[in-house]
Amino acid sequence: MITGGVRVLNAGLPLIVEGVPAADVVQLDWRPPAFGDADLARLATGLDDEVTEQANARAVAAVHAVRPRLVRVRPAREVVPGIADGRTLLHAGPPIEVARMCGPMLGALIGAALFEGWASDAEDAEARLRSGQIAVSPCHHASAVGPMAGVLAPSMPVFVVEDGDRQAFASLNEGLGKVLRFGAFDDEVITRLAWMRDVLGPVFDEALRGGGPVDVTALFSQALAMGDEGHNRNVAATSLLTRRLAPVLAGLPSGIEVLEFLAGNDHFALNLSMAGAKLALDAAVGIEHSTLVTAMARNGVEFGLRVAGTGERWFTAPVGPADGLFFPGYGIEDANPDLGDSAITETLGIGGFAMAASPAITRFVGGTPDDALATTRSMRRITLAPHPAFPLPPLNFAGSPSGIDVLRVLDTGVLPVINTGIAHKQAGVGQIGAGIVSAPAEVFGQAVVALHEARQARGDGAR
Amino acid sequence: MPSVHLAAPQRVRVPTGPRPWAVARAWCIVHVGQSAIILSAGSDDAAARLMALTSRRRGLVAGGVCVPDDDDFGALARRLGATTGSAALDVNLDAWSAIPAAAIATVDLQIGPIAVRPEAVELFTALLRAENGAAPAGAAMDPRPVRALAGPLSRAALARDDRRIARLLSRLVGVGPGATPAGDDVIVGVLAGLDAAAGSLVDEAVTRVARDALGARLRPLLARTTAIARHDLTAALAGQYAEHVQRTVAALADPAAVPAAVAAARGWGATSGIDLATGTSSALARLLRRPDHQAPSTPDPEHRRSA
Amino acid sequence: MSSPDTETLQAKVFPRLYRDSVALMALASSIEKREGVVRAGAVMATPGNLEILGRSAMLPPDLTAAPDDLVLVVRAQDEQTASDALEAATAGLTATEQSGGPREEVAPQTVREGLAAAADATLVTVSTPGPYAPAVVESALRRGLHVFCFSDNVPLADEVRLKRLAVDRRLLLMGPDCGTAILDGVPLGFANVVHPGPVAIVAASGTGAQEVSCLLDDAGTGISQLIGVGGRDLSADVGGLMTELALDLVATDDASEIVVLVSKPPAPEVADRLLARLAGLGKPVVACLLGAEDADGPVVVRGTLEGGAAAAAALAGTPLAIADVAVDEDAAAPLSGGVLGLYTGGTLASETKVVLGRAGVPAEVLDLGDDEYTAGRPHPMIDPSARVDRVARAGADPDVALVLVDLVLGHGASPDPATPLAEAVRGARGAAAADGRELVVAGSVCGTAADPQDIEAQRRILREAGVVLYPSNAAAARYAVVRATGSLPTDPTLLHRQETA
Repeated sequence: MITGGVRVLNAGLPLIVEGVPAADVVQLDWRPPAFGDADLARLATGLDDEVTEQANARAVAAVHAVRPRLVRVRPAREVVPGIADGRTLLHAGPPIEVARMCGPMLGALIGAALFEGWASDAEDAEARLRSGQIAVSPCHHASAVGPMAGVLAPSMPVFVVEDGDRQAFASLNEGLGKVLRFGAFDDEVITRLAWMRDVLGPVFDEALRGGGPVDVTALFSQALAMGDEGHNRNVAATSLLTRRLAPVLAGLPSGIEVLEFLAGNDHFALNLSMAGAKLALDAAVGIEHSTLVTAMARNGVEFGLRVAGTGERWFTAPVGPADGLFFPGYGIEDANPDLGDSAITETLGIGGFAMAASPAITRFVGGTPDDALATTRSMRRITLAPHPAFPLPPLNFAGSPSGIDVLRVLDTGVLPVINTGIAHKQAGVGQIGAGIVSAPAEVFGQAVVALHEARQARGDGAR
Repeated sequence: MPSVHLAAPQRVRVPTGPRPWAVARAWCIVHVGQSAIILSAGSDDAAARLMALTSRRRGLVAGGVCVPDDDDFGALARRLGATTGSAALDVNLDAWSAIPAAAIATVDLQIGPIAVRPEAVELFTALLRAENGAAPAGAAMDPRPVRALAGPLSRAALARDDRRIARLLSRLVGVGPGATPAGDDVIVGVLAGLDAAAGSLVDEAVTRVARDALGARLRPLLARTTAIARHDLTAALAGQYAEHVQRTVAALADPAAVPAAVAAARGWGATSGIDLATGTSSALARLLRRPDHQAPSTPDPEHRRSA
Repeated sequence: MSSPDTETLQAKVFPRLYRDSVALMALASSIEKREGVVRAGAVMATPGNLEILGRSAMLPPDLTAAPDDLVLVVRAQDEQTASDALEAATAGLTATEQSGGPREEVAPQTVREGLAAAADATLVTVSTPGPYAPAVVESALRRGLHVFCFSDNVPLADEVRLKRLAVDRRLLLMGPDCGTAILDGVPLGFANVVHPGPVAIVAASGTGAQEVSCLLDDAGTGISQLIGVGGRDLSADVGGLMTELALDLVATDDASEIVVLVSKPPAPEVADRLLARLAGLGKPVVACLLGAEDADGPVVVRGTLEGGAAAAAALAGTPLAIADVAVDEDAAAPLSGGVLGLYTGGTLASETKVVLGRAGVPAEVLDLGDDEYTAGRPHPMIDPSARVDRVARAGADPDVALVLVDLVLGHGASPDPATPLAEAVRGARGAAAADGRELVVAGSVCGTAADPQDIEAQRRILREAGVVLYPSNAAAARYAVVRATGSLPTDPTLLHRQETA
């Protein structure tokens, strides 16, 4: 009567299937779904149908089809939409009022205002920010992303990555130490930013004209095979990028200066990784009914999540400090709550999701290669498909788990992991550690409620 | 020798008695696992003391420290885990002496007075019998022959048959699969069963005589097993049992709690939980069959001989 | 397999290496699965273990190791295989560094993950806490899987919604609160080991279906399918959604020749449609509707489980013979008090109420499996001790002269439910006797000879404790009628009907 014979998945008490031949039973390690919220579990299951499945298949195919190419490095004002209107600065994470910002982000905005010449001193800059004379807006709203504070000003050079007629942008990485993205804004920082504007940007752009465009997907695919994970370890990608452009750079005026800068900045390629990931994920924004996550970002106060089927809406929850390994002399009490747009890499399926590729990083964030493999494997449980362009050797060259599915997160209770650097809570002190954080559970619950409402609204409209 | 300073956890749970971290100045890392970190005071000495730092899920073990906050525990494991593979490191716990008294919960690891109910023991035994119906999945070495000695050991102990105790212990100590060999788990289980029955099923004098008889024959054999098993056996001889053992034993006062207790035992190690539970159930089943327990008894030849 | 003298034995010692035992087990079994490996072991090198290795010819003569060392031994068909295996195992030990905790053993957790692990699954059994059951059920149905839902406390609205979803997809949703099923011979939940045969049972009642299937088995026929639908299926709200689908399925099931429906009487709105459906099923049908008037129309209706089983057995050509109550001198002695029923099976309790009610015998009949009595404890069929206290209390109650009990065997039930009940009966009867009263305890055992508990042993335990046993629950209830009234009932519907085909 049962076509295919009685073959059982048992969710619950083993005694229910006591009489079934053991070979015909798979015992599930069932746990309460949706973090224990039965109503939410019901909503999530209600969405888990053919409509969602097809929408997700379209969404993940669209993301995987994007092949970002690094074509130019241009001043932000020329390319980033909206940044040249009035006095506007962009920042990391979901939207936030200046009054609620954390120290490093406010510091970075002050630095950017000084860098643009919009204020006479730090006090003046802060007053102008607080009064709204200088407007702020998330990078994500302008097809851009930035690590840590993620502050972007019109004069700063940005990577321009494109695929067809679509573009995404990211700032250039300043290196470690006293840097704007950790909220520092003294002369040393401003001087470096000016050099980046006047020398690094134009020279790099010139080099790209000769040696570009650079296939970003191919670059990071190769870097993953060389021990990077594309978020916290970028030494391979930076080296590959440098090698690619070195012959041209070496022949340009100030080219050696630029090469020296690249030689001293292991994280230079991070921002390129982020821009590529942003471009890829933007391909899925607005795909109706899709439960694919298109952005995860932190502003130092809140964690923000965006989902394809709910377009540009943010789901937010308070974010705490990352608990990781701290540099000597620092501890969690010094740490700023988690910060930056860099979780866009995990959203695509690299960074924390590709931990298995990067034995070196596991030591840095605490843990072992075995933990790393377990992390990558557990991310498979919440993602839609392996990324075809990112095969990982420790997974027998299966692709890195890619495309976070809100429904799978609720179903399993497994939260996306994010590799992160840890910023000091005081502006300008810089990085004090690194670790692994999980996205907060609440945002996934909010997303399911919103997706459900969207489905109801459309359903009612159709009737 | 380089040393790693471990920050103190927010909160800890420890057994009654001296603070475990205070018994030595320097510790070596024996193992860093997902739910237990094992440190050893001193290095190669066979009598070295072990201290297990355990997660909330694993629970407090004798002579150990339970770090109930998962994040705290994870931080310790990561810090120590990151050092494995490097040269021998000392672990320094000086910071722990500053843990405020309010953050230290003290747990008595003696098996408290339990009103063991015969029907709970019967259910427990029946469930374990079912459990022992098949070899544990994936076990390359079958623990069941070792478990089968639990009944005879209990009987010999209750009969104070020293020769038989010695013969059985030599077939149990350090024998069987696992980092705590199955035989050692069985012995710990038998001792726990005796302690659980004391004062509820039978007079305390009965079990005291039996555990003394076991102890006398067991101590000389301790060098024949692993340091971790030796630690567990020594603690059990002193009447100290890990919290997960306590939970199993507590279920014997309430038949309704027994199925869950057996299910939980299935989850400790590959075979350890069931090894131990089998020991406990054997000891209690033997006690229930004694004439000084009111239940109808079958004649016990060993008992008659020594009585 | 090659002979032992061409085999080779190699070992490797890892000094003072501690690994979680789960990791050791996994390692040893993965080595053993390698091509050409005869046996492998990964144990701590204690004297006891070395001796065992020696006895099984797995100990190289030159091996020296201490108790805290880990030893890996491999017996293989040739040197190369052995050394390759050891090398792989060494790598495996490094790979399992820091591992072995539960995080490592990622068992499938959700229906989706279960299907990934077993793509050929056809059915999901659900016994999660009730509030979560709808999500699991829906997830299963949407993936085309039948569902057996043991969970209770599922909201009615969810039941209706999910059963509609199931019916749309022609999938069975047995439950919520479904206790038993036998599908193509495979038992789920509480089910007895019955012979295969021509009778299909569709049941909105768990122990009712068990009693009917056991009586049919006893009569010498057997069961093709037993489909539970959950106790609320024939209510006005659910409207018999799953009963109808189950009837459709058995109507087209070649193994099913006779159909028995077991339920409380359906809601009036549902009854007419249901009876019409039954009448047009194309197969002989017995509707066993507890408490209904017996009728012999196109659909045979019986008001007791025993009556339904007897009618179906007659249709199958294997009449059910129940030895009826004989009124002897003892039995005729009037009872000193009332009748108390202490049941673990809800439908058995209902049947007893029907039999006693028809005879006008007042009685208190309790279903101890009801939420009211379980109060968070396991169901008394799983944990028989739950009934013990109440039986014991009856012994001290001068108002109780006769206690009726059931004992349900089969898969899922306690391994030895008779012993605790027998102990309690002995105690209660002793207490009553000490008080100068007689406490009569009567009942039946719902089970078959093939059930895992050994039905004869269980019966013996009860009889030895003084329980008067009858072959069916209805017969035990009739015995109570005889004792309470001092005579056999005169109304023929109260007697066991000798049905003929």
